[in-house]
Amino acid sequence: MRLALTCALALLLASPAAAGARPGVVDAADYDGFWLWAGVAPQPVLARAASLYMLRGQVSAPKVGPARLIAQGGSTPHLQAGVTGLQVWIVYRAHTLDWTPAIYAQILAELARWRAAGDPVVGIQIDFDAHTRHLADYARFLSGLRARLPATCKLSITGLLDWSSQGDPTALDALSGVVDEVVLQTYQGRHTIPGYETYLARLGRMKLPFKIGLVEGGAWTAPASLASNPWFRGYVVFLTNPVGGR
Amino acid sequence: MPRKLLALLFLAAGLLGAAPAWASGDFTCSVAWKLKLTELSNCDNQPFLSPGNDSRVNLQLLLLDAGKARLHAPGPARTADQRYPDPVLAGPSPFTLQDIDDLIAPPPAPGSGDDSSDHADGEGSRCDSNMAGAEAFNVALAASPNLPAADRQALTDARAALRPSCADDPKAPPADAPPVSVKSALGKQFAAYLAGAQAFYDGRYDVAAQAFAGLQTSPQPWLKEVARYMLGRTALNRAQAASFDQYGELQPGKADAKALAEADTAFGAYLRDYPNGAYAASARGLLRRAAWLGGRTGDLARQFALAFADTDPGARNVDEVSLVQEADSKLLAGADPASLHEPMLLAVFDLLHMRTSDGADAVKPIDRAALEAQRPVFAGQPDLFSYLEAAHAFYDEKAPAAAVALLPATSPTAPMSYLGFSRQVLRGLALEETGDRAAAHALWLSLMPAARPPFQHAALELALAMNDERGGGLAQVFAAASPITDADLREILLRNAAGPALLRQQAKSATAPEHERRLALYTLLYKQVTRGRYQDFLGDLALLPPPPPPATGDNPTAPDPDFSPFRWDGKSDDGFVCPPLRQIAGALARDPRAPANLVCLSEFVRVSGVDGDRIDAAPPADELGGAPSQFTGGPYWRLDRYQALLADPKTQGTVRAYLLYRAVRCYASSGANHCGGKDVDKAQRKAWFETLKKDFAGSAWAQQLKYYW
Repeated sequence: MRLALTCALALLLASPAAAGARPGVVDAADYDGFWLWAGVAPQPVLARAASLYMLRGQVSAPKVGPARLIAQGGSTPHLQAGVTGLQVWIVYRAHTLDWTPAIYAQILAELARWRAAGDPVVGIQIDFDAHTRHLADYARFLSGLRARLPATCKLSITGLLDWSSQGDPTALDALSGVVDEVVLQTYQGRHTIPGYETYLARLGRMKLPFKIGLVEGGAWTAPASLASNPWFRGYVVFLTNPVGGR
Repeated sequence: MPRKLLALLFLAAGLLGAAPAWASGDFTCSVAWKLKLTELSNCDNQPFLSPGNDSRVNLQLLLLDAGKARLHAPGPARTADQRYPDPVLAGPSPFTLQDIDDLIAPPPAPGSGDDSSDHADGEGSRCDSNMAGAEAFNVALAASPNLPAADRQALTDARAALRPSCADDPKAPPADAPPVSVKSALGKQFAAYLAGAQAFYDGRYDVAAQAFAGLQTSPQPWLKEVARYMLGRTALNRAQAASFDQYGELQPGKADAKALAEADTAFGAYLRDYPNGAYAASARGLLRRAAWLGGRTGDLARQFALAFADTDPGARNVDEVSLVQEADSKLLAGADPASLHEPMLLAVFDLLHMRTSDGADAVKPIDRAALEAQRPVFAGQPDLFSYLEAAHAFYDEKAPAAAVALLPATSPTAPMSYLGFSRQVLRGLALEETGDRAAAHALWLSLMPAARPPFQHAALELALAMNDERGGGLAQVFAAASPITDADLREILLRNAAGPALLRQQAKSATAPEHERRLALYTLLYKQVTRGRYQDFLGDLALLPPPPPPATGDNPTAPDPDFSPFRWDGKSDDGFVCPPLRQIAGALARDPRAPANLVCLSEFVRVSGVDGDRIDAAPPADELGGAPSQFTGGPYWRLDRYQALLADPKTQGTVRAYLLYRAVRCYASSGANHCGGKDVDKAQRKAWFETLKKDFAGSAWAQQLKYYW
């Protein structure tokens, strides 16, 4: 732990722009990338966000019948790029990859509505817990999705920690041609995954741009190798509501 | 409720009510195998009213008892992929919210997936009604034979041209549509409606309200009805118009109170005149929304109670599962209990506030006096209230004897309601805590014949299994007539609790399923060889079946668990030479302290990849499998073994060099110990590294090791 701490401090000194490399507890104020999930009250830190991932829908998998897109969160936002050059990602959580044509159409329509409202949307993010062993299927799905998106819309996905250690390298490579970034989640629910360091140590296998997803209030100490990883693109913090709130 | 932070879920959801969903609660979870649950976990619901249940599950149990929800026959089981990330269990208990919803939600009507809307289900856009509105408009035109053909055509065209976006961008307000050119008086009324609809979708609510107000006395029946309904919608949308922040999130308490009151009045008037009107279900849902926006918890609770009570098809436009979701996120999440006068909803609220939780999930605990003050609300449901009192005594006051006194002393003979079952199970749990294990054992057994509703029997099996594990009755669990048939429970006990004799018995059993037999043998052999019972291990190796044929493409599933570790030939990747496992065990049987053979034993553990195997990681003490194991000897952790050998001055030469190498590598490359056992600090790792480099400089391991971690 002490070595990691030293390295984390070194990282801070070496690259002051890499916000959030402080060891210990994740304080949203140290970061500039956030997930804003349905039901989480916006916080003042959002005013200085450079990237914002907003959950807007969930593709549900009913036991019988076709998948449906179920709205999450509020109405169309009215955000501006502002001084931080804010980049907005619309996030869809998927419980299934068996999407109907209507779901694709609804997502494209939402993208258009946000852009019509002036929101600086750079892309959409798919949040799907793909089994490590099904990464190749996931890559095929994403490829199909990518083909339906306008060229101006980037594609981001969330990733699981064990992809970097157990994922089939070919499947990971296949993703790299399809998605613009992967945000690796270091937490489950509201808690940082114990032993996340072990997984992150194997990040050398990731050959595509990635960010690290943290949970507000969770544990985080940057591994020594992170700063020098050429694919590392920063952090996204999953915001939570304050303790004792509603 | 999944999380307190879901309080504002569906902020804008639902001109037509809210849709079911899980927001952020749906991450992988691991099952806690116990019945006393005081913290929320997505996969640990039990079929009795419990603080640890998802509050939607508790509400469903009460609705099932009240006949307001119905179970249907289970459909095909979800596959592992469909369940992911929820765990796949062999038995039905514990269960997820989805599991119980699957039994309640009716299968979708054929064709209901033909979704041509641009909006997601439940998306909070008033434009979502545009397509259905166009259809109703055209039906009304068709029902007006006196309309001149030219007017009809103009109106049809104008309705088709109405494609609002509801973007509500203040910088780009929608332009006024040109008036529809119609001649007849009736045509002008339809045109006035269209102008109102356009203004409504564009967010010009004053114009819309004026148009709809003028149509309230229309002789055309549809116009008259829809105008009155739309007056409510217009007021409601105006009430919330300024409530959304830049993120599109609704700010509580910002709604326009005057407009909300207008919406209430308009919907109330509409429902009075059209109790079975085309828009009655929608109006009732929107009344809930108005109560929610206005923070009127008491009204909202009453409306939910009415909505749950009225199960007639058509009385509401959301299904029961969605209504539970809506009540959870809109009412229970932020309710003031003093304003909840509906027993069912108040009971669910109370249970939620008996949780012990921290961090983001923290809730304010309810105290006994506050609970007592609720007694009048439960005047008609004394059993429910005494259950809440008993639950408070048990979970919050840690007074199990007091809980027992509040609960029935006789076991039922007929199938139990979920409340009836809850009362019995809580009594059993309280008996366990008072130390009267025998009485609890008798109760669990006596409840089983009547526990026929879904999930009940599985919960009793878990209760009985825990009782047997702690009360010396493990053999009964595996006896021929045992009522404990849930494969998960049996596996947990074999893996963690069983001693050698029971494991051997199950390994040889003629009646146990193949997986259970294999698991028993695997556990027996692994624990024998890692806990120093080498002679027994050599004897029981004879029970190993012949190796399976090599897996082929057609037959990719190998039997589980895989016995190949016990056939280890001694080869490894790092150059420490070992004989096959059988010879290692034989040598250790003769000399259990020989360092080289002990290193080879650790190599078996390392090479087989059983580090951190569940066999060595016992469950928490309050869960099934968490009692002290009947298999003595304690877990096998490599780092502990390396340290013990290094501490022995007799460990020298190659063996010591390799141990130093291995001990340092336990921290590769993240700095976290992945070998199990007591952690050592960085200075110790550094000392090992330096000793290896200095004392064994010529060894391959010294040359191979470039860092320590």
